[in-house]
Parts: sequence; structure tokens; C-alpha cells
Amino acid sequence: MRLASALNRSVFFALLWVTLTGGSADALIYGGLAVAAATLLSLRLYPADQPGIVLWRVAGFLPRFLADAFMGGLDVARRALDPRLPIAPGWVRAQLTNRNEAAGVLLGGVVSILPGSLAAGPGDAEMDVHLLNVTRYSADGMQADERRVLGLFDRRIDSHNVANG
Amino acid sequence: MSLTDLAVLALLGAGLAFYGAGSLGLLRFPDTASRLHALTKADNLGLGLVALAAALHWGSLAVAAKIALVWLFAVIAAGITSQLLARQARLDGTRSHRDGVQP
Amino acid sequence: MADWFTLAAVFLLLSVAVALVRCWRGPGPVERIMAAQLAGTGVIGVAVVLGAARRDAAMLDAALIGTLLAAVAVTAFARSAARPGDRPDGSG
Repeated sequence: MRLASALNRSVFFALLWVTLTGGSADALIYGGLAVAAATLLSLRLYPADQPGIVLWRVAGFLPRFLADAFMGGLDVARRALDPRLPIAPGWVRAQLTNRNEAAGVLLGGVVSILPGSLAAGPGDAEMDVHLLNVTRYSADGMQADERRVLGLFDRRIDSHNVANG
Repeated sequence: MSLTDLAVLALLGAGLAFYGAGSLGLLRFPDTASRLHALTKADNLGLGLVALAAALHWGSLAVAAKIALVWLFAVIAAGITSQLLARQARLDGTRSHRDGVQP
Repeated sequence: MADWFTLAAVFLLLSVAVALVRCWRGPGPVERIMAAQLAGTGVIGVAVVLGAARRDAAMLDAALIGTLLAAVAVTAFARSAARPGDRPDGSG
């Protein structure tokens, strides 16, 4: 399990290195060192027994994410350019079903890309969300987003999981 | 002018428009967190479109991969820093409320 | 075509300059660091378009470093600004 994680992560870092250096051969030896160091550091900072993200599921998530990012940018640009400045900003507190910190931070990032909402980081099974139009908040939409983000992980993160597992 | 050039120009123009809207939002929006919306969403979309234009103009797959990486890192960084700043804005708001000062 | 990319770099610098007005006016430290972050995103854009104008891949390395440094700067700010035990209490 630990070995599989180490292997997975080194392959990922190696791909990153090859992309960054354009696959140049004389950089490969430094790449080997950098990949080893990055893998060790990553295992230390985020141990292998923590819930991991499945990359191919992220790939499946990407088209929707890109569309959301486009709509989010379009929405805020439209509001900023409109002479009447059509915003009614305010905070809401969203309830989450889980307390996992990694999932919370990821959810916060995704929510912040969506049109009109911005997360202030996860709290204890809840999240403060700022809205450009506070009258348009949908708790159901937030729950659907949380389910989608939790689905990216390699195991079930349910409501009984405590932070730091 | 080729069809690729036209696409590059369109993407470049759209990207710059989003950058401009982001700056404008930072100036015009009335509260801290709303300004953060402009920064997080408009500017990173602007960067994405500009990066797409650059990759298309360059016409090399290796360079395009690297440009995609630049954008990806920028988006990941924005997803985390915007949460840190939003949390700070939220804290400042509750603090000034608690201390009886209008934000 | 390269001229268009150079022109884009000029426009990006202008949009960063506009954002710096927010840095000047504030009113809070969060506004100022936001303006700095926008300058970061703007300069990354400048590096990418200048790289495209001159087909110079080294500019992309500069853009990557800029991205990472901007993230570290904001994180350092958030850590230094937080007071011990601070938590949004929902009353605000």
C-alpha cells in the first residue's frame, strides 16, 4: 500500500519533470534526484494511509470543471463591466457531510471556481461561502458539488471520518 | 492571415478582456470578498485564454504541455490562496463587527 | 503576429497598473495583498505572451516560478495575519 503510493507518486513527479524540461536528456540525472526527493517529501507531508485522489477520475471531472471555470469567469466579468454593478454580496454557512480536511480544501477550491461563489476554507463539517448574489444560494447544489468532489477519492469518505483520519 | 492566426487573435483578445474585467472588479466591487471573486475567477480565466493563444501560436506539443502546466499550477494556487484570503476577509469582518466598528 | 503578443503584454501591464490603485486605496491588508496577487497573475500572463512573441521557452520557466512564488507569498501573509484561536463565529 505504501509502496504502491510511492510508485504512483514517483511516476507522477517523473511525468511532471519530463514536461518541465521538455524531455532533455542531460537533465535526466537531476530529474531522478528531484523525483526521489519530491516523493519522499510528499509521503511525509501527506502519508500513504490518507485518502488519495484517483487521477483518471480527475480527468473525467475536467471537462465539467473547465466549463464551470469559463462560466464563473464570464459571470464575474459581466457583473464587473455592468454599469449598474448587479451584485448583492453576502455570506452563508454551508453544512458538509464530512470532516476530511483534504476533501474540504478541494471542495473549497472547486466552489470558488463556480459562478458566484467563493469558499473561505473548510471548518468543522461546514464551510463559509461568500456569494455575489446571496439570494441565489442553493444548499442542494452545494451538496451535489460535495458528492462530486468526494467521488474523486480512492475510498469512501463518510460522515464518520474524523479530520486527519 | 491564416485561420490559426484568427483563432489566436480571438483567444488573446478574449483573455485580455477577462484580465481587464478582473482589474475593474477589484476596483468597483464594494466588499473584500467580492473583489476576491474578480481576482480568482476573471484573472485565471484570462490567463487560461491567453495561454491557449500562446500554445496555438507556438505550435509545439511539448511547449503546449508546459503552458498547460503553467495554467494548472496557477489555478491550483488560486484555489488555495483564495480560500486563505477569503477566510481572512471573513475574520476581519467578524472582528470589526465584534469590536463595534463598521467594516 | 509577434507584435500582437507584445501589444498584449503592454495591455496586461496596464491592467496590473489599474489594480495597483486598489493596493494604494486599501482599505485593509487583504486588499493590498489581493492587488499584489493580481499583479502576480498579470506578470505570469506577461511572461507567457512575451515567450510566445519571441518563441522563448525560458519565459515559461519564469512564469512557473512566478506562479509558485505568488502562492507562497499569499500563504505567508495569511499565516502572519491570523491571530491564535481565530475562527469565524458566524455572528458577523
